[in-house]
Amino acid sequence: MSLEPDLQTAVNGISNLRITTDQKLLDGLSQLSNCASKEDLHLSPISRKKRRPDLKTLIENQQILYYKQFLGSITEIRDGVEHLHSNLSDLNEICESMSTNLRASKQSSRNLIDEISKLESERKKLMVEKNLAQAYLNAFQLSGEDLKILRTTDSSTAILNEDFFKVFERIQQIQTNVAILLKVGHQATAVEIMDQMGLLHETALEKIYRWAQSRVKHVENPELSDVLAKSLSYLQIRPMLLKYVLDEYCTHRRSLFVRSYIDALTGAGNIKGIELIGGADPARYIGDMLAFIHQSIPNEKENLTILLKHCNKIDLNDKIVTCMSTIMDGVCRPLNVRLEQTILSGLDCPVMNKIDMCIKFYVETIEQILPVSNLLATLTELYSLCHQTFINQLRCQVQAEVGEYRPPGPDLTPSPIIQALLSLLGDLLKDTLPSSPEQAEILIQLVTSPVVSQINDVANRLGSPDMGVYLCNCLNQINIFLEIYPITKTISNTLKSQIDSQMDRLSSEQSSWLIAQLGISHMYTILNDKVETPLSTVPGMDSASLKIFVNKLDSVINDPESVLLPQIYHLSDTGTRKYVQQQSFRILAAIYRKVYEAVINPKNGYPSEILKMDPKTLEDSLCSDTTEVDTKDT
Amino acid sequence: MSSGPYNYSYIFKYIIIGDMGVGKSCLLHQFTEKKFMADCPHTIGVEFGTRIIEVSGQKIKLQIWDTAGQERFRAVTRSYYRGAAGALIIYDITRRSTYNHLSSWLTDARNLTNPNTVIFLIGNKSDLDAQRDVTYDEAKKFADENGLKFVEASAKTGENVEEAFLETAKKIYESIQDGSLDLNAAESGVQKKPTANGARTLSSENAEGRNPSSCSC
Repeated sequence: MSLEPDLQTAVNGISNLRITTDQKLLDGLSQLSNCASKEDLHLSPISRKKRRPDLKTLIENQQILYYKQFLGSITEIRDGVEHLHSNLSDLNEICESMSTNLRASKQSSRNLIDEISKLESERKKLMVEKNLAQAYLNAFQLSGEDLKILRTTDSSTAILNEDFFKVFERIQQIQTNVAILLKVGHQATAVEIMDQMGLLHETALEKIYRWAQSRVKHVENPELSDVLAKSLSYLQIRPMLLKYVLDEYCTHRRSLFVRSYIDALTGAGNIKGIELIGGADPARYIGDMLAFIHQSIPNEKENLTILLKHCNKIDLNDKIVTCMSTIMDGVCRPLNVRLEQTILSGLDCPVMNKIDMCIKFYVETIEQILPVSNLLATLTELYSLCHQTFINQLRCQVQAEVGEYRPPGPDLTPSPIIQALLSLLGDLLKDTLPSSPEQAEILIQLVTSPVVSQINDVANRLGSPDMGVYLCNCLNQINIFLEIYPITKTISNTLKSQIDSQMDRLSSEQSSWLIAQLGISHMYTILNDKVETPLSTVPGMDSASLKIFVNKLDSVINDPESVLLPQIYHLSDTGTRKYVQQQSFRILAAIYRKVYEAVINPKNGYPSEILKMDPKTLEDSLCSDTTEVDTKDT
Repeated sequence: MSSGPYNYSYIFKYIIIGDMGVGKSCLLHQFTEKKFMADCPHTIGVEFGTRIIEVSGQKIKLQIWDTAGQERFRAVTRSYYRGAAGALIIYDITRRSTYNHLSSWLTDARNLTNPNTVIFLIGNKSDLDAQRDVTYDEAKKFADENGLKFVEASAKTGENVEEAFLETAKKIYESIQDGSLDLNAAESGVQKKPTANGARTLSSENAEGRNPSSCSC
């Protein structure tokens, strides 16, 4: 029985073992299973018993093996840890060296930063300096580009461009700047820059001048005119250069102008030249020539105005006029030759007069446009030549006509020469009077005074009544001619007074003639003698004589013309004739009144009724139609 | 360069003729200045005016010579007809005498200009219609009979002034275009302007070769 409970317990123990759940046990068992081989299973229990210590040894061995294995592993680990340790130590070392390095680089960075900031400030300073230098250069030096432009431009350049003028203005600007620089001190630099700029300035001016001089003749080219005008405005600061350019221009235009003048004279193309047309009419020839010149002036003026339009530092008007004068002066010689030739070619007075007026007109016209010019001087000279020639010619012609003594015919009419000269004068006045009354007066004087003196000359060789009649006839003719012209008052008045004195002379001639015809001169003497004795007893005053007187008087009243001087009939002007007649009749009437008064005076002892007519009636009947003469008389 | 002073292709010469006081100078003034000039003094000899106009896209410069109407200047003014491309004959519609003298002016114009000269008849003072002394129809008939262009214009109001000057230029330009006007003739009254370094430049350089004094007499 003892065994039985043991076994029971063992089996129970085993059955109580939760083999399947206890992994450890399972592992232990599987481990143990390896220890017994297959044969072991068939061992008898005794052997099994015997084998129990073996198992224990086995397990112990196993354990020892395990420990050994563990020890080996631990040793390995220890080696590994030792290795790790050495590695870490290395790492540490490296880290430490890195840290040192870092510290060092940190220091050097700080140094660098310092360096940089230092450089930065340096840079700033330099920048300022650079700007200053640039500003200095801008203010006082030309850029390379500018210099290149300046260098590459010369007179062969087709057109001076904007850039060139900009460079030029910069040079001028720099010169102004230098002046300031000089004022504020920097003498040496300023002088140096000034020299340099002065040189450049001269070069640039020279280039402008050369260019302008070579191109100035093309001012009518629209592409050049503006640039030329600009160039000239820059040349103003060197008046001589401007003058040379303008001289060049004037010389060129002058020759062009002369050529066009010659072309106009000779005819160009299919147009008749002035000379061809003018052949027949010298006055028109000269007029056309002068008109051509006058008409060329506006074009020249326009050109010059355009050329000089930017010039503001000179007297523009004066310059233009001077240049125009120079250009126009070109024609002086050819014009002078032609005009002189025409003037001296012995033309008629009326033609000469026309030419005279024409040149005078152009002298006045040109004087207004070109007051100081050879052209004006030439024209003035030609005018005086023409005027002198004309006046001399007129004087000679008049002298020649009136020079020789031509006694008047028996009818005492004016010589036909007077009429011819007057009609010549008329021709002249027709052209002269409207434009120049002064000249007209001179012409009238020139023609009339020799004629009048010749008339006087002729008249002086005539007998008294003939002379009066002739003078009256001639002077009247002149006066009638002059009356058309309003300006001839003085001459006309002189002539009139001369005529009047001749009329008075003729009147007295006629009166003497009348008194002689009637034979009453002794009566007049007796009446004036204041004799004391009765007049009827005085011979020549007796009744018989008075009767004869009355008879004669009757015949005069019946036919007043019969008692006229024969010459009086030749008075061409009826007014004058009447006046003379009336004057003589008035004297007759006055004598009659005296006789009548003596007769009716009883003291003189005349028989009554011897003089039937009273003086008033006689006067009325003789001088009845004298109204017009009376008015003239008063 | 488009607005340059020489920006024109042709120069035409005009003359203005007609009796004294018909308003020749006033017409010119109205045309060049676009203003009416009251109390205009008598012209002495000749006066000058200029204006640039446009015909068929061509710029043309008119050089206008305004002559004195007074008889005493007739001898002087006749010399200015020479080489005119256009002649404007003016009369005053309120004064018949100025109209009656037209034939004498026309004779002068025909004799003294070249056959291609365009003659334009202008009846001035059309603003004074109430004082009219010459009817439009009568003048028109005269113009037609003589182959003249005709308008009535007023220098005072400017009516038809522009038209008359432009019409004349247009006709001259037509003559140039159809070749009847020879530009090379010195007295055609028309000058052609060079565009750039053109004909004129050449000819002027030739001129230098010629000694001007050698052919002057």
